Amino acid sequence: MGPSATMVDVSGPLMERSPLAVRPRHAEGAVRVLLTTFGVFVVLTTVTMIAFLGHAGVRGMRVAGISSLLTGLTWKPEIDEYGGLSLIVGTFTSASGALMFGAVPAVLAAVWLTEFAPPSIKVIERRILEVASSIPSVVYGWLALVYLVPIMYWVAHALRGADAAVTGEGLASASVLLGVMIAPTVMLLSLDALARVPRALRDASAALGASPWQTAFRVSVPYAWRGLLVAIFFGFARAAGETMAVQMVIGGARRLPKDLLFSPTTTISTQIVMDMQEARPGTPQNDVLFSMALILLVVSVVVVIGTRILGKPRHS
Amino acid sequence: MTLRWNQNVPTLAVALACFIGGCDRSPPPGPAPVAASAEATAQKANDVLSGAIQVSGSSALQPLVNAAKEQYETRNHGASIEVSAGGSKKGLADVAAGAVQVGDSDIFAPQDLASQLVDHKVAVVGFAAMANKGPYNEHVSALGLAEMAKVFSGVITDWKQLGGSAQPIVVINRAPGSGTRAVFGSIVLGGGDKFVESQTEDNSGALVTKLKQTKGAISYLALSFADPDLVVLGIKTDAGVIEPSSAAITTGTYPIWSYEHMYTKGQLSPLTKQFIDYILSSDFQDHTLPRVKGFIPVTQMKVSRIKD
Amino acid sequence: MEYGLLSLLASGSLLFAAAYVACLGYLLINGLGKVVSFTAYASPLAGVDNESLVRFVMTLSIVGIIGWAGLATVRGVASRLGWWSAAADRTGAVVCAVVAVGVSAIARDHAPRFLISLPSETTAGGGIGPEIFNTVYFAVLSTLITLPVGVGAAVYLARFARSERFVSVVRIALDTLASLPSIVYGLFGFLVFVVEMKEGYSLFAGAVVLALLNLPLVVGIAEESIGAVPRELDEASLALGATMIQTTVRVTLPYAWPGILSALVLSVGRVFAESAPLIMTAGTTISRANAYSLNPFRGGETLAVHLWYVNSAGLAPDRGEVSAGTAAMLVVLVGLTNVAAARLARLGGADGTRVRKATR
Repeated sequence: MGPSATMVDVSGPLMERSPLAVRPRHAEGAVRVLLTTFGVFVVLTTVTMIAFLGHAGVRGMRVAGISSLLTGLTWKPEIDEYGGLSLIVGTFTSASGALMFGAVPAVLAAVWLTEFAPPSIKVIERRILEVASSIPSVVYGWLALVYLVPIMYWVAHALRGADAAVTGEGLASASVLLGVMIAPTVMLLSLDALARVPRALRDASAALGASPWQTAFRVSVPYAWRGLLVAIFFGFARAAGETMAVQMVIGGARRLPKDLLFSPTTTISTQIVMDMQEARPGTPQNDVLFSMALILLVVSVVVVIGTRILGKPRHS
Repeated sequence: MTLRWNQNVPTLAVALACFIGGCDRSPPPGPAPVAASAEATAQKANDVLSGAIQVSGSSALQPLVNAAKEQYETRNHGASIEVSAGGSKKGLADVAAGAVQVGDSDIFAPQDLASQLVDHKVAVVGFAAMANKGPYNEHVSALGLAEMAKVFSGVITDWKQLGGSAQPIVVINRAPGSGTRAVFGSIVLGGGDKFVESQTEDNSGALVTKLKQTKGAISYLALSFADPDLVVLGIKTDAGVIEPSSAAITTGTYPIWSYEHMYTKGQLSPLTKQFIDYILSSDFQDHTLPRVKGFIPVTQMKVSRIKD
Repeated sequence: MEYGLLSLLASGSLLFAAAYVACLGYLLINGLGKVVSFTAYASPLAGVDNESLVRFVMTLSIVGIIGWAGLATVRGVASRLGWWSAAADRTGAVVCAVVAVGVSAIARDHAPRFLISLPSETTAGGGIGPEIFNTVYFAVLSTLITLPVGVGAAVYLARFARSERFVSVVRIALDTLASLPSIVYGLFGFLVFVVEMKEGYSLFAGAVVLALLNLPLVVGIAEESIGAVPRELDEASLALGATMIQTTVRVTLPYAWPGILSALVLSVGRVFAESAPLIMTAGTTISRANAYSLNPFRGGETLAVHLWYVNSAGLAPDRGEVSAGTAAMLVVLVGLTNVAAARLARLGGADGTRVRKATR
């Protein structure tokens, strides 16, 4: 239909593709340069950030040694001990716990909403979650501090005996908190992923006699599994990077937790923020904090690049 | 425009809450320290300096600095002293970096900083181990120094080893940047950082609450935070029990105390200088300081230290 | 068995949503009392620059919202009953505005004490006035940076880019930025602004860091919206003789406006919510000398930072109440942003006001 459909090379940017594009005047050139600058700015900023942090982090790694940062057990910068294992384990376990308490229920709830729920409920619940995902994380952290920690104290005493040596702060509290925080976002992403399942597929499955349950779990979910996995990974990355809210409920003990659920421990980001308060720029203590940040950065980047690779649509 | 149930009505409901939820008819709060000022208690004619200075660091010293701030700002209306917490080590780092004018610290500055900073000792404060009060430790009111060291380094783990009944000890530490932790560590545990790694709590108010709520909990605090619902542990020696009192601290019998330092760097601004002079003046030290719980004037000390 | 599992799933899902509603409801009920209670007495001024003006603005906002909501309800009811007209609309709006300004000017010192007082480190009775000011100021400052850079980069990627390789480099950069945890941004800001440039804590550093944080989000959504503009529209504009810039500014962007706006709203939401990067770049203190100052090179804490600080390092005995009020205020701010965005979205888009006016 029309001259632009078949006779013009459509591989360039829109403005040049169309034969109707007017030859640019000089002002156009200036604006084009300005816009290109924005693009360049984005790249430059990313490179600068990585460079600055990498430089400080590498300095820190020379001070502390990579093996100590990754596997050492004692983190005591005041006596120059930089064992980051407890921090790394804390980050991973709290983020995994968050997946268990928040991401998986969120995905299941999204499946129910898409496949089984009446449309009005879906709309309402989606609205609620959009609002819930915009509540600041420190608010959730504060609520957890005031209400969740005493509940965990009671649960710990119920599970471990009336004289258990617990205070309520620890991995259980942190995991539940992080789960509650990431659940709305994971659910919204899962809803989007499930919405992309073509209707024809569902109809075909129903036509073959499958019940809604079978359609949901044997047709829709497998089709959308990539999107769902992306949602879960995204939740993991967010939980691993969360700082202040976790700091309020995880206890801050710089050691591996004795009791996996109820002993206080710490995470990479929590420890960075707490130690940064009194670290003096230029000292080895400060540089090692940047090294731990580098480790966290590598983990996050790997997880999110993984989601990009997963998310690339492959026509099956 | 129709009535939008999802936008206008909730908004109106919230707005009406403004009226229903109420006019606050309570009486106004007591005169704000700044607005009040009728008495000209200043005996000298102070130059009215204006400006702002920032103080950060030790939470143990904060009650005293606030008392000084209130008095000082009443006399010098244009002056504004901003105090924030963060721990002794943060105070030292901030003042060395120039982010604040005065850094409060419970400990002497470490060697690499001491050369840049000027030390002003403004008071003496005592520290004690405080614990949750419960039926399991009702007969335990004092511990020997060696016992205390073993509790906080994790060797002794149960109250029954201290003379109470069976109840695991829950040690709550201060953050690593806390001056209280450093002082307690050097005096009770003999230096280094031999504390058992356990939960940290750095907000003194929240720490007191946690101690009251958690069975078996024990921690260490400045005496200004002593609370009747907590067990304040004295020190057991062969000669008897030493209670943490001002008398015992000034004579040096009770060993867990430290100077409260206000560190400054380089040339002082006139406001900073006047503020520090005010805190060190006999007017403040003899009249106001004794009224703030837990602090002792440096001049009353019969023993002294040159380092922690 | 399927049925049992299904009902389990259903109840789980509903409980899920109900839990969040309960959270929100609790936050509002618990803290809103402090936020909305006008006082019978006049709060004394604390001697901060601009304090009267800020009180006026805050009171005006509250009274304005009440008035607007009241007007909208009256409008709704009256138009159902057939008593309304465009003239009534206009007079209603004018009367509302005048009354709001008048009431605010008179009652500014009677605004809720919590909203206009300074925070207190060690005594009870602190407020969150400067924190609200800083939070809003941050939103404005960082949007001023995010809007041109983000939309500019999106326009570039969607319309003007010539080299495919450069476009993929930019996309990789954006992906990397999107995957960094927020604390890394805080560390970067700390290194660059506080350490290298020796600026100390400043709002400017915080705003730049927040703008960077929001950049991938804004560019992503804006690019998607611009890409969704039908090509026929642009080509029609070009066919009529418009230049590329005119086309972009007058045709493409207004059409893509709702998407861009939603991106900005999300970014403002993130500004309200972030605390870790701000602790490292803007600090955790409020200084009485410049609590309400417009100078961006001074430090200051926001509502989220205050909520964390009061619970972690502050010595005030009423920290529970202050936290409740702060949390409620945050929820209110987020809600207001969404409502404002819903209003502003109607300006653009496929059937937005501009397009409608242009095609009348």
